[in-house]
This record gives sequence, structure tokens and C-alpha cells, in this order.
Amino acid sequence: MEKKQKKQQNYLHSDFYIRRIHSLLGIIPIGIFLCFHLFMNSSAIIGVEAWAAVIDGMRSIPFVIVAEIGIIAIPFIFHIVYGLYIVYFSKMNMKYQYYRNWMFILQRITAIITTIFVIEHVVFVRIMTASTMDVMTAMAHVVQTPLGFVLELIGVWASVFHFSNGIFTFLITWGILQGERLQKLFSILTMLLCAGMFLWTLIILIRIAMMPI
Amino acid sequence: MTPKAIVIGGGLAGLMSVIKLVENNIDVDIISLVPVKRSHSVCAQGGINAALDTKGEGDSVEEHFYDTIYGGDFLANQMPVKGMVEAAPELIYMFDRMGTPFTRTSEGILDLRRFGGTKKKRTVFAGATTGQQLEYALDEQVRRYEDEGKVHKFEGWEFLKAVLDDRGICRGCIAQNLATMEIKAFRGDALLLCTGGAGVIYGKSTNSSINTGSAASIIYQQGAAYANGEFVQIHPTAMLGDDKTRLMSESARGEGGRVWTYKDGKPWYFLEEMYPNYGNLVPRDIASRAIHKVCVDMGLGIDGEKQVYLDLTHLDKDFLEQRLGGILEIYEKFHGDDPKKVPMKIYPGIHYFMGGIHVNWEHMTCLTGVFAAGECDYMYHGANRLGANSLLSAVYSGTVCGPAAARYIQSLDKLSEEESETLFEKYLREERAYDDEIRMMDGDENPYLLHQEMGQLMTANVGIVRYNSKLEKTDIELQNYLERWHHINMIDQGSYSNQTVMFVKQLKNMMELARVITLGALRRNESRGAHYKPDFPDRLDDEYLKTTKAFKTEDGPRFEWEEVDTSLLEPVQRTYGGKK
Amino acid sequence: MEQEYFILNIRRQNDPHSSSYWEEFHIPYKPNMNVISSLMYIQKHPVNAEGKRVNPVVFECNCYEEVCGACTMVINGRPRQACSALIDKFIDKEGIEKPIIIEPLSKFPTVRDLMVDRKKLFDGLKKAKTWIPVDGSFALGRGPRYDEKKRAYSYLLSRCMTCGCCAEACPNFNEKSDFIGPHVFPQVQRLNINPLGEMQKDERLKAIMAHGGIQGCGNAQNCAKVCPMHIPILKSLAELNFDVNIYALKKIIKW
Repeated sequence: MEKKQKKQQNYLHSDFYIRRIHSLLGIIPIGIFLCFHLFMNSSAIIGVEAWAAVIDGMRSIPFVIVAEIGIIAIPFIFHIVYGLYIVYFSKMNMKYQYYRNWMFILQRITAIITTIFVIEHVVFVRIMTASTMDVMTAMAHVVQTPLGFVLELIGVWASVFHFSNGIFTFLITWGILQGERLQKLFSILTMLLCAGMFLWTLIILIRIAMMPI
Repeated sequence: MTPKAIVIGGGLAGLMSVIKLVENNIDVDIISLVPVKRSHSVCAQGGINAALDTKGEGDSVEEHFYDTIYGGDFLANQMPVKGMVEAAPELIYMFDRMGTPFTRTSEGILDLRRFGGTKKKRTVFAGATTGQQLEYALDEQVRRYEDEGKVHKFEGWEFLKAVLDDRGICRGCIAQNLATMEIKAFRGDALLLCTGGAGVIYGKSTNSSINTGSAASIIYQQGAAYANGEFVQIHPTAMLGDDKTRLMSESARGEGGRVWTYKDGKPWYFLEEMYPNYGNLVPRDIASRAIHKVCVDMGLGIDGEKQVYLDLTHLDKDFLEQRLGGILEIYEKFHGDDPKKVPMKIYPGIHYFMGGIHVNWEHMTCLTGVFAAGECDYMYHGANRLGANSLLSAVYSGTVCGPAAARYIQSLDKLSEEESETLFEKYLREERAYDDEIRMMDGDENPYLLHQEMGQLMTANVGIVRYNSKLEKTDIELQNYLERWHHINMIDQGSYSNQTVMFVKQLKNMMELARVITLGALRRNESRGAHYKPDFPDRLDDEYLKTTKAFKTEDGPRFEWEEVDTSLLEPVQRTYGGKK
Repeated sequence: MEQEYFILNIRRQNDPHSSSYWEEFHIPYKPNMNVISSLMYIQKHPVNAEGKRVNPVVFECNCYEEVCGACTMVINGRPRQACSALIDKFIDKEGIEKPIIIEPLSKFPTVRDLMVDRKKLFDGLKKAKTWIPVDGSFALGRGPRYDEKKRAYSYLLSRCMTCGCCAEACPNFNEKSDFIGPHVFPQVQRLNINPLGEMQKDERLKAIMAHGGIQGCGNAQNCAKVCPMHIPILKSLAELNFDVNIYALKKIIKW
């Protein structure tokens, strides 16, 4: 009886590790991929040709599908599924008008928006496209309608916020930010990063929207 | 069959007893009104005394003993006090090992501060919440035993009666659940009362709302003697509030606080003037009387009210923050002013009961198998308690009471488990009938108003200064209250968690105990420690160097005198004016 | 003429199984009152705002000094101790006409009116093994030397009175989740930095890595905001996060 209980307890230890893996995956590889993805697509700021060249380059990496599944899809799915489980078990309370409480709530709201956005993005921009041109038109057609632009922007910004604030919670979860002043400093720094990424992604989307595609 | 003890109350004395019982292989049920971590012990602020002598002052156990006996005006039995002061250093070390965060010196050893009634630094402290820290340490240890299945806590239960068999031996108790109102019998081979003081009898006091003295009164009504009831300590520095008088720790004076009021337009440091040797650190009874004299007899209270200043503003702010942070916070929180900038307004408030259930030196009451420890016993403080001795006596009495109860249980020829159900049934029937009776009360008295009236009466007449005429009147009035109690209106019709039902039960017990206190004071025609009669200003050892013992009878308390053990120290005049 | 009473609007409930309702009370104003003394006034005059006789409001309180934690309730939306909730402050801020809203803590089962059952908090302390397993209470000599700076930090952590404000405000502490609550972690950290308690550090870390443990924290940080004792919960949490990660890594390496 006691042994069984102990076994159960050991088994229950697993949710600590799962939660930590979830936290880690948010930065490595997902966060890194997000940055890489944005950098690559920054080529859209320069022009259609540059953008096409970069997309071509990415599409021509050998065995790209293996990397896509192993480094991107599986971590993503894990992060999303377990993340939604976390969201389900928290009881958000808007009553507490504290900055970090709002961040906490936004982190969970953006989690849901990002999930929907990523699925949409993958399906329409990756799975249902066969060539570089397809990719570019798929993107352009969405952002060239006002509604599409707003929705796309919400999706991108949600992801970017989730990432920036995620860095902050990651640093706490891993015990790197221990002092309260240090925590405050990084709380500000990550939001500055978020603001910068908002601007950056806005420019990318505007440029795509303006493309003659 | 495992022997089992029942401990009523989860303060320091209770938890210490529990630990000692478990160490003696006795399982324990703890019955407590509140989660034990919320017991009144957490309110003690200043510290706990032990002659550690780490300040190069040559302090010693003998001196601690002398100060305690002398401070208590020689009314304490000397052998038990000797045991207590000798055990003190080891008890401090025990807490230290349990993780109590006592304030340290730069070498990392225990720091000491000075308290009232002593000339040496002898008080170990954890910031300004020493009682809380000690209580939490024991709470943690008991939680560990609870985790191991050796202790069962019944938190949110009120003690109603001890179950005594036909030979008068205690076999358990009856208690009531404060949420479901269930009345239940608990079997136990020893019953340990660690139920604290009875400040609520006085309405407003520095005590918590659970300190009604109800449990002690119940045991008294069941036949145990109540000793030295008339000795009630009045703490000189308390803030008057609407709901209670909040304590301002003696450590405020210990760290250099000065008490003053205006006289002829100038600050008058009357304690320093009246008692040049001890200054602001005279014992509590003396300080209280001085403040009372200045405010009532001389009419020199601040703004003409009953209040004087306790001043810390001349001390360094960082020093105050570090040494007294917790208590200054309390003043600021409840009064609004910052004591680091503005002198605090204070007045004496009812604080501690030196008297309590009469016990032998093994802490057993007159009832076989019923023990008492902590503030609810009468053992260690005589006529007046020195600051920071209360935590010590609470813990120490637990270390005596627990093992004594264990020895008693081991000597029993029959355990409570073997006792027939009928005995418990009988008690249960009685208590349930009483409960029903109270629920049906439909007179016109509001119990809370009746209590308020009693509190005011007691504070006015059985407080700092006592006159026989007023004491006589008070007793008549108390009997009148006992009559009026029958005309209470049950203002709460709820069947669940009915606090008024419980309060009405407590109120009756408080009234019984109030009579013991009042009549005890009436009989003692002298002034000794906290008991002060202007008509009898001297201590009269020939007649009154005796313990008051009260027994319940049909027509009120019956009193006896008992000799005090003075085998170690010849009584001398107690004075804090001249040289000791 | 200015109103001479202030208003309490109290969420009441007759027993654990019935549903709650609101009731208003008018309390004659006096300076220096607090929520407890107002509730005590209702005990003495159990009449609601409509002048109807009602059962007095049931509430927990003990020390009235904010050291026992008993009288914790939600006052104007914030969990806090009723004894230190000064009426004058509410009136200064909101005016005497505005009712003061009083509710029981929502994260714990209500017993009656403002009284709740906070057993779960103490169970959390038990799960995390927050004690130093001393050999016994008998004479074993002096305790260890202890750096005063570390001691001062542990004292700040040790002032927790298990009142439940942090758990009430914590989004992850609720009936759906098994999270033990923020109040546990400062206690674990306090014992982990104690010279004796350090010896059982790993056991405590293991305990808070179990199901419902430290991983349940989602960094909303409400706990620190509402803590009446201003306990450095966040610091202790972050320090423990570091320690559990190192412990986990060590365990993996030595697997």
C-alpha cells in the first residue's frame, strides 16, 4: 500500500519536469525560431525580390521537412497542448489591478490567440502552398484587405507579446531573476523588447500589404 | 491499546506539552478553538528571559531567580520558579534548534535586550514578534508529529466539560464543534488544560477574543481550586481602542523609550523622577500605578484624558526599525501616527493573569488526571509577572506538565478506552440538554451588551486600584448578572456555526470566574504586586503571604489560604526606588 | 447634514450548503473604528439597514492586532485583515455614503457568513514538510551560529501568519487546481537557509516539486501585492526555482 503510494508520488513528480520542459521549449527552440522567422521575413521590408529570394532559400534547405517537424512542429504542439492545460487550471481575476496580474492574464489570452493564429498561419502559408509564389500571395492576399490586416496584426502581436513576456517568466522560472529590483528591471526590459518587436512586425506587414502581388 | 492524552489549547504551553507527551509515547488529541497557529501566544512581542550572560554583565540563574521572586512580591512558590529559571537557557537553545529566528549579534550568537524589573540584559528576542516566532516553531514540530499520525488536531472545537468517573478520575472530555455545533465525547487518559488567560472578563484587554477563561472556569466549577485570581497584571503601556486595548511592548521602554506627560507646561519624566534606579524600566505594576496616579489623582493626563506619552522620537530611526519594527508598525497601523516621529499615547490595560487553576508542582489540579499549564495555571509569577517571563513560564510549564501527565498515565490501572460508554453518554446528554436550553433562551438581554457591562464594571472596580466597598458592590452586581444571564435572548437563530450560543456559554463561565477574582481581591487586605488597595498600602506577610484558593460551592466561591514556599529566599521589602 | 452612520454591505450565507445573499447594515460612526469593531456593533445591535432583526454576522477574529491571521476577509475587493481595516480610511477615501463591501474569502469553503475553512493552507505546509526534524525537545546544547543578515531575511519570511490573502489573490490556487499555494514557499526557503534546516533541504525541494508544487506558480505576483506582512514571497520563490532546477539537473545527471 505504502509502496504504491510512493510510486504514485514519484510518478506525480513528472508534472514538475513537464512544466519545466514547457517553459524551456517556449524559448528553445520556439522563441529562437520566432526571431529567426522574423529576421528572414524582414527581407520583405527591402522588396519583393529580396523577400522571394529568402523564401526560396528557406524552401530549398535539404530535408527541411525533418527540421520543420523535429525542431518546430513537435515542440510547438507540446507547448500548445500543455499550455492550454495550464490556462484551463488558472482562475484569472481582473479584480486585482496590478501590473503583473494583467501581464499574467494577457499571457494566457495571447496564448489562445497565438494558438489559433499559428494553426491558421501554418495551414494557409505552409501546408496549402506549393511554391514561393504561393507563399507570397497567400500572405499578401490576407494583409491586403483591412480586416485581414488587422487580424494578421493581432495574431503576430499576440505571438510577439507572448514571447517577450515569456522571456520574463522564463527567467523567473529558472531562478535567474531572484532580486525584486532585478525582476522589475527585466519586467521593463522585456516590455521594451515587446514594443520594439511590435514596431518591427508592423513595418513588415505594411510592406507586404503594399506589395504589388 | 495506546494511551492517549487530550490537550486543550494550542498555545505555547499546549504545544510544548504535546511534544513532551509524544516523546513519552503518548498519542495526543489537541482541542483548540482556533487553528493552533493562531493561538494567543503569537501576541507576545518583547522576548523570553534566560540568564545567558553573553554581555559580560555577570548575569546568572540565581539573579534571574531573585528578580522573578522579588518582582512577584514573594508570592510565587520558590522551588518551581527555581526549576524554571534553571531550565530557561536550554529551552532557548531548543527553540534555536527548531529554527526560531532569534535576533543575533555580529558573531552570530543570540542577542539580548533588557526588560523591566531587571538590571541585566536577559531577554532573548526575535524582532518584535517573539511569541509568534516561538509559537510557530512548536507548531511546526507538532505538524511533523501530526504528519506521523501521533497527534490529531481538532481545531475549531470548544471544550465543554471534563468527564470524571465515579471515583472522580478524569476519563476524557466533552467538546463542541464550532461549525457543525456537534457535541462529542473524547476519550483520554489525561486532560491538559493550556487555555491561557481570561482578559475577556474585563471586556477590553490586551488579550485575544478567545481568552475568556471559560475552560479554566469550567474546571473550577467541576471542583478544581482556582488560585490567586485577584492578581491580574495591568500592562502600563497599551493603546486604547474601540475593540480592544492593544499592547505596546515593554521592549519599547527596554530599548530606551521614555514615559512622560506635561507638568507646568514642561515635559515631566515622572517614572525617571520617582524611581531613579530603574527609571522607565520599573516593573509593570509600579509603572501602571504611577501612570494611574498621574492621570487620575493628579489630573495630568495628555489633553486631560487618561493617557500619557511613550516617547521613542529621540532614538535613531534605523535602530528603531530594526529592533522594534513590528510593534511600531502596529501602532502606526491602528493609530495612524508614526511613533518614530510622534510620541505614542498610552494608558495601562488589563494584560495577564498571574493567578489560575491551582496545581501541584507536577501541574496536576485537584481533579485526578486533569492538568493545567501556561497562563491558566498560577505557578510562576506570584503577585506580579516580570516582562518576558510569560513565554518562559508557558513553555517551561509545558515541559513539566507533559512528562508528568505521561507518568500519571503510565501509572493508571485502567485506560479510558476500557471505560464503558454509559459514563460518556451521561455527560453528552447533559451537555446536549444545556445546549438546547441555551438555544431556547428568549429573554430580553443581549449577551454581548451584558458582557460589555460586566467588562466595564470589572475594569473600573477590580483594576489598578481596589477599594473594599467597590469590590463588595461588584460582587453583588456580578450575582445580579448571573441572574440576568437567565434572561438572555438568543439573538442568533442559526443552526450552523452559532457563535452566540457559544458566547452565552462562555459568558456564564466568565461571570463565575469574575466572582472568584473579585472576592479574592476583597479578602486580601494588603497591597502586593499587582493587587493594590490604597486603604491597605503595605504588604502584610504575616497574614497574607499565602496563596488564595477558591472552590466552587452552591453559594459562590469558598476560600482557603495555602502556605507559600519560601524555602530559598527570605521575603524582603520590595522597592524599586532605592538600591536593591 | 452629514450622515452619521456608515454602511456595511455584507455577503452572508447561512451554512456551507445554502447560497449567499447580501445584507446591509448601518453602523453609527465613531472615530477610530475598524471592520471588526463594526461587526461587534452588529452583535450588540443585530438589526439590518431596513430595521429588521437578523442573526448577528458570524466572523472569525482573535488577536485584533494583525498577528494571528484569523479575521481575513475580502473588503472592498481586497483580501486583508478586518482588524486593521480602519473605517476612517475608507470614509476619507470614498466618503461616508459609499458602502464598504465585505465578503468571505472566495477560495475556501464558506462555513457561515464571513467564516471560512482554511484547512487547505495548513495541509500545504504539511505537504512541504516545513519543519526542522530536531532529535528532540530535550537538552542538546546550543543551537548553531547564524549569520545575522541571513537570520534577518529568514525572520521576514517567518512572519507569515497563514492568513490566506496570497492564496485568495493567486489565480493558480483554486478548486480546479492542486497548487498548494504561495504561502508555502517562503517557509520552505526559511528552513532551507537555516544552518540546521539546510540538512533536509533536498527533502523539502523534492516535496515542492511534487504534484501541485512550485511549478504551479504562474508569475501573476498578486501574492506579494496583497501580503499584509510584506513577506518577500517573490524573492523566496525565485530562489527556490533556482534550487529546484539545480536539484533536478543533479538528479538527471546522477540518474
